[in-house]
Amino acid sequence: MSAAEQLTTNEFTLNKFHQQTEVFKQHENREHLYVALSKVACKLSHELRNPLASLSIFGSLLTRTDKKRYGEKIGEEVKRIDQTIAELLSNTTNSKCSLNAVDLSTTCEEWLNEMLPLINIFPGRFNVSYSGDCRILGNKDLIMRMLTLCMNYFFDSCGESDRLDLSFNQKSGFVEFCWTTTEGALDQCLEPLAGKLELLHLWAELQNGVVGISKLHDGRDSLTLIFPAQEVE
Amino acid sequence: MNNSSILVVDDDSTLREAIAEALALEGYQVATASDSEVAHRFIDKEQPDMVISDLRMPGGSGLDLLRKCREKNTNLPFLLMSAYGEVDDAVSAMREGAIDFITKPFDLDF
Repeated sequence: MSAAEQLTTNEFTLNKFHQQTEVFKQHENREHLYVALSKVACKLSHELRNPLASLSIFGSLLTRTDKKRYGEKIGEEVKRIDQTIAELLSNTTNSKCSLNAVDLSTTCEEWLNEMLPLINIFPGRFNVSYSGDCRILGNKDLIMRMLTLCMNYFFDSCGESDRLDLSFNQKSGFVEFCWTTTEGALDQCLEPLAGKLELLHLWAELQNGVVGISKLHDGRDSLTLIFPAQEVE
Repeated sequence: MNNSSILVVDDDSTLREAIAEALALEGYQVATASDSEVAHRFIDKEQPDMVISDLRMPGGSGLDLLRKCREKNTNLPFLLMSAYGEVDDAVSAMREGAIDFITKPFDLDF
């Protein structure tokens, strides 16, 4: 392959990668709406189901009197309202991602295979290390999207000689993904990308995780994703 | 007439009253508490035969109350109620030793 052809191939790979992250951004607003709806539905169900439980019990007590028919009617109506709440909850919670036990070693290998064309464009600038059996209760597809997004932060923002190290390990009941650059401060890199970080926060939250930027002992900055570990039975 | 005593714990006063009323009509001696702290003190002092508690309450959950009792090695039967009906909550409740987990609303046949 000639140098010009190689350049075109690289440009195509990079464009494809950027297009993918643009699609993620378009999903952001919709996912924000779903999360907000789920929270409202959850709160609503709690607020309504307590008085419904009271009505149901008082209705049951009424069925033991000579007003039995009234008590039965109250019971029927309580069930009808509860059914409506259940449907509302079902419609909103279905929009949330389903969480399963995710083996991070396998997921990361799969993701690296997908990213290989991109990694090959920048030889030696990306390093992944992990140890032990790391599992979380998460969503494999979402984890892979998060890794791609973090990768995008790096290639968008860091210098040409900068190297990115991704490591993940399990400690004290948590799994920690750590993205560290060899040069440059990640917080400076990420400052103009606050919008993208918001999406990362949202995806982490959906899997009970958190995102943080911390200063390492040697002065470098690191972007960290922390999830509760899933115990292997 | 049933001499067993039951403690009903829920931050919703009407629901607390409804459950207490229904149980009292069945002949149980019923006490109520509006939060897990009050409930914990009552359990220590009065030692009821059973606790029926809401799962999510401000200040401390029904699961916290159950754990505190289990730490003291009491096998006090716990029945937990929740308006959320999440599978995770039910699994946690049963793992911690609750005898049952019911979702609101429910009728008197629970």
